[in-house]
Amino acid sequence: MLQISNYIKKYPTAPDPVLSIPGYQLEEGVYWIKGENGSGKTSLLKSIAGLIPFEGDISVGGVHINGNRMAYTKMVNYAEAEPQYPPFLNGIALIDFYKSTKGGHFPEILFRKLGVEKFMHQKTATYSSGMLKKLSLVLGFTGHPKLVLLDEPLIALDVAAVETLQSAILQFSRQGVSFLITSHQPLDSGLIKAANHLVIKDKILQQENV
Amino acid sequence: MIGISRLLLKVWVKQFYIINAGFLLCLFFFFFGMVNGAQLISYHRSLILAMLISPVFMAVVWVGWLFYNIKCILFTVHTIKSNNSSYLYSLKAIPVSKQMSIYLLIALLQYMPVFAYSGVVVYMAFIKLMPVTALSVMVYQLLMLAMAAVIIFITINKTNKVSTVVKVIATLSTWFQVKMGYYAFVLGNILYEKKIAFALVKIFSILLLSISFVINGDHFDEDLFSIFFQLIIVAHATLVLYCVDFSEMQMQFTRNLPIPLRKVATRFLLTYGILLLPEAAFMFINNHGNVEITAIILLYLTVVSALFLYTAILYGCGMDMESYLFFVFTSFIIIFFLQKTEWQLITMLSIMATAIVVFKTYYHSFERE
Repeated sequence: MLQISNYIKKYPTAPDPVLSIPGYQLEEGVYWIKGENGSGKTSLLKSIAGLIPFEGDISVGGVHINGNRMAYTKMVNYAEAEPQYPPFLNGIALIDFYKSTKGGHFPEILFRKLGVEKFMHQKTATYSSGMLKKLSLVLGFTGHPKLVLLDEPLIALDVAAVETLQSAILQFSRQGVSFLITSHQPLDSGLIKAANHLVIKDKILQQENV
Repeated sequence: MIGISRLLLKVWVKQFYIINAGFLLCLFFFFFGMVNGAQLISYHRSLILAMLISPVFMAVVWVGWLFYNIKCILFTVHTIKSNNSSYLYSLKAIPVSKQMSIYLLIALLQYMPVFAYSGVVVYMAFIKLMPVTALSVMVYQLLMLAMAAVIIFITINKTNKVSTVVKVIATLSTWFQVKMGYYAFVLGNILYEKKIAFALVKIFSILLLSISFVINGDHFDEDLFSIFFQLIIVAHATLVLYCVDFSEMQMQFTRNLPIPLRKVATRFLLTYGILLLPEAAFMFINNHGNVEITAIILLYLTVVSALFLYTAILYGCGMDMESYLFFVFTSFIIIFFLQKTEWQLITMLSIMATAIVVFKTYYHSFERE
């Protein structure tokens, strides 16, 4: 499903690479990526999402990010750890925007269960970090993604929202959607069982022995 | 009472003018900045006379005034209903008559730009011996103020009985909320978040254009104008920086969306096209045969292309300020000499072509320094 080859991520301010993956292939499923702070988890997710440049190649379902970017970004969704949106826009404007670009399915149940409908008409400038997180998660499930990247999805969420999100991940994964999740918070036992455990250690992505 | 009035003046009046500074400056510029200073009074006299003579025109103006009043009312209602304004409900404790007088004062101060102008309309109507028209304008303005005060009163003192009124306001608020599409996001950021910078750049541009087109209108100096023209482009470099910064900070998520590169480029071009409309309009209105119409259109398109080139440069240099300023300075010199060749179309097309190539090359490999 996800193929990474000759991946090197360097930042302009540092000469050494943050992360280097000569080759890695992930089959369909749920993956929990662990690693210390600064190990490069977010950089990897942002690279796969197309937010930052990198050396090498990444493809999902045979579609290469640098080959057919339009088709690629239709298949890969990303929800940031600390989402930022234009403060003068409201939630509904962003939802409409995502629906029009990503197309396809809108996660109505997740949207209702997370309570986004209650504040979607307010400008995002008035949102708390939990509200921003909920909105970004709903947007992350919008469309017909094959791969959803969730960077620290549990932070800032209330207990009920954590449960709702984890059951949504399980439900979507049963429908063939893959997930790459980074989280310092422990996941629900059901999700832990379902997930494959990866770790970034010494700038290398590897399978974790649980 | 004085303490309460002072507090409300800060929360409802001062904030209203701060938040709407860009909008009001645009309106002010539209009505007073675009007209030659010497013709300003005669222009407004003719405008008011047209209002007095034509009932249709007067009706259109009244609708405009009503929209402005609704804007004022919605601002106040939103402030009352926002999460951090629950203290405003303590106004319920004040007697009704005192509350109403405070709300009338607030409504008057927010509505002042229209109220002052309508005062001139009333004065002109009396001079032209049209007392009925004058009285109707006065009554209309008093109704506007009364409506605003009553709605504020109802919102503050709301009980179950008035929930319908609040619902109507909420519906109105939804109607009047500008729905922004992808192309308007960057422009929205400039007008909402960077309005002071926007206003300063516009004032600077219009001042320079005024020197060329109004003050030196009879002795138009082409050399001076070409320097001013370059300065206007450079002044907009700040706005370009804000646009790219916004796109790569608060709109970075759009890189994960299937948006074609041509659409991203068009968003920037449209934004700059709209931002530069005041200058284009000024040149059209105040041009007395100094510059050909086609030349004005080409100048306008050249500035849009130059700003797009700045955008591409920002992507190319990873938003590094030193490199950006160096390229802005370099392009200043190159465009200046290209302008001197008088091949305006070729100048514009070459700037645009360079911008497109640089933008296409660097957009996807961009990373902030």
